[in-house]
Amino acid sequence: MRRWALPLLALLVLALFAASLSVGPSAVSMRLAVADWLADGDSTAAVIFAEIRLPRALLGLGVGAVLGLSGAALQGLLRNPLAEPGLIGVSASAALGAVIAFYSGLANAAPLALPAGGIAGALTAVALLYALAGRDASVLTLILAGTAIGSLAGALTSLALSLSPNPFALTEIVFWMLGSLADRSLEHVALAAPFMAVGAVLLLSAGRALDALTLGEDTARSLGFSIGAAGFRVIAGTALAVGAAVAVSGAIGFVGLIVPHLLRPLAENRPSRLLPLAALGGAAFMLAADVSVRLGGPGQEMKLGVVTALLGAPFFLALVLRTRRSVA
Amino acid sequence: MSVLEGAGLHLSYGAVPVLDGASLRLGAGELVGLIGPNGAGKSTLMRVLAGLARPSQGAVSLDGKPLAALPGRARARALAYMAQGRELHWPLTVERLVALGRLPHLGPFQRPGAEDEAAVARALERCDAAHLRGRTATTLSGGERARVLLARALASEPALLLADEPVAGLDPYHQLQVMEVLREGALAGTGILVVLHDLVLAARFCTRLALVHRGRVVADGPPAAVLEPGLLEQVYGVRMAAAEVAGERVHLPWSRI
Repeated sequence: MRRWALPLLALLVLALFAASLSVGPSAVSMRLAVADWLADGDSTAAVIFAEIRLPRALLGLGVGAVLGLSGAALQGLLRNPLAEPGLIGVSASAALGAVIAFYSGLANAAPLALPAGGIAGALTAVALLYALAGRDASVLTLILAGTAIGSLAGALTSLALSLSPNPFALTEIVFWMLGSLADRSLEHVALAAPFMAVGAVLLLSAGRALDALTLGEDTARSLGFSIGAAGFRVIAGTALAVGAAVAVSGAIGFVGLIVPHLLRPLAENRPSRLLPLAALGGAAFMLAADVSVRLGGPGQEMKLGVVTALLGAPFFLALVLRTRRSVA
Repeated sequence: MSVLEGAGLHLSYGAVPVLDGASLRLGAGELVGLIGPNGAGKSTLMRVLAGLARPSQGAVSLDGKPLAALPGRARARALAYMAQGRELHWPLTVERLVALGRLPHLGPFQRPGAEDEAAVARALERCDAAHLRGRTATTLSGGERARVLLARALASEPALLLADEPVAGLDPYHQLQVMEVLREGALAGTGILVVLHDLVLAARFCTRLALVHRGRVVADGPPAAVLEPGLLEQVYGVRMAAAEVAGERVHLPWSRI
């Protein structure tokens, strides 16, 4: 079972990716749509495929994967199963960057100003984090500084909302912050993908150091690993990948927390083995949630961040209760 | 054949000097006991010798080359360190845990090979823990966990091993067992430095003792020379009782001064 976890999850992601391409309010034959799109056609089916379904499925795949991956890496770095990407203030800062883009009117002038603002917010947060905490900061210092930066960004976001002169803009910002993959274009994908890819590589490269950290920081260092370097890979990787994810999709909670937790037994508790599993698991969870919001039929669809929390919280609670029983 | 040498080591935590000119040498095949009262600087001296803490003055060298200049992985292959705390953050199986000792021998994405598996099996065997290999390490008893963590340190098959209180909290049977593993390691050529509080174990198993007091090594030599009642009373603040057991002279702490 454990040996097959990775290929099985990959198959599941593939199936959900196909489902994400096929499900939507308009009945479109995917076979014809793809054929027409590849032939550079501009039939309705091809347009729906290229401008609605494909970006949405690609973002579900990417955003879910980096949320799961960074959650697993942060849990390994902090050796705490409750760690999640929001902890280092990156999500809140990315949201602030996007809100500033909204607020300043830039978002109306240029459609990509919103995600670009989000990415700028995330990068500013991580630069500030290292400027404040220093280059050889302990993991604890980084987390405390990250929490402070996150709180500050959250407060500034609330300030911007409460000062908003226009109630429509306010509604738009609040809805955006709830998280969604709807109405994104391939330009969004192209903007976020490089950051997500570099972030994911940084996160995956920390696997061995995270394994060594199982035995504590001193022992990990005695095994030849630099804790500062491992911390930088995880934190900068999370900032790039999750910052880009939040910038294009809004804040989507719970994925980075529950997916690693759920898959840890399949990785036999090894942090390095958990990383690729959590990436696939996050992608599967996100694609499934995004398909489910579309099954509700036409009209205002549920926000993805709401659905992941609605599905995630009770599930997580059940998991906690079960472990409590097995420990007691 | 490796030699680890620290000379004139100074280190302070804030204004409090912890090491104040400590010097120590560890050669191949030696089993050196690091003894001294709590707070004397034993663990700090060991961490400095392991390259985990940087001295403010003085230098540590491995085979004549500065330890600090050595890349982390090369240092980790030559020198293993067993921490005092027995932290274990994830419930790994014993086999996976001991295999972490092979990390310094693996390239970034290289999988462990037959040689690594053999080293893990040897380490488990030496520590009498082979039967535990499938167990979850967090469910082990204190004695089992100490043996498994020692196996983790031995799995890298280092030239030098620094172990901080490996017998703390163990019952007499397991204390003797761990000391025997260390003695066998030294006989096989490994240079071993071990922090101990039990002076009887120190006298019986170590080839040399180093007595640490207020950040300095105040005595360094064969156990019989270092375990001198007058010196021990001055350093530990306890009166010692000497006894003859099975032809060996042992010193026991008897009453506070």
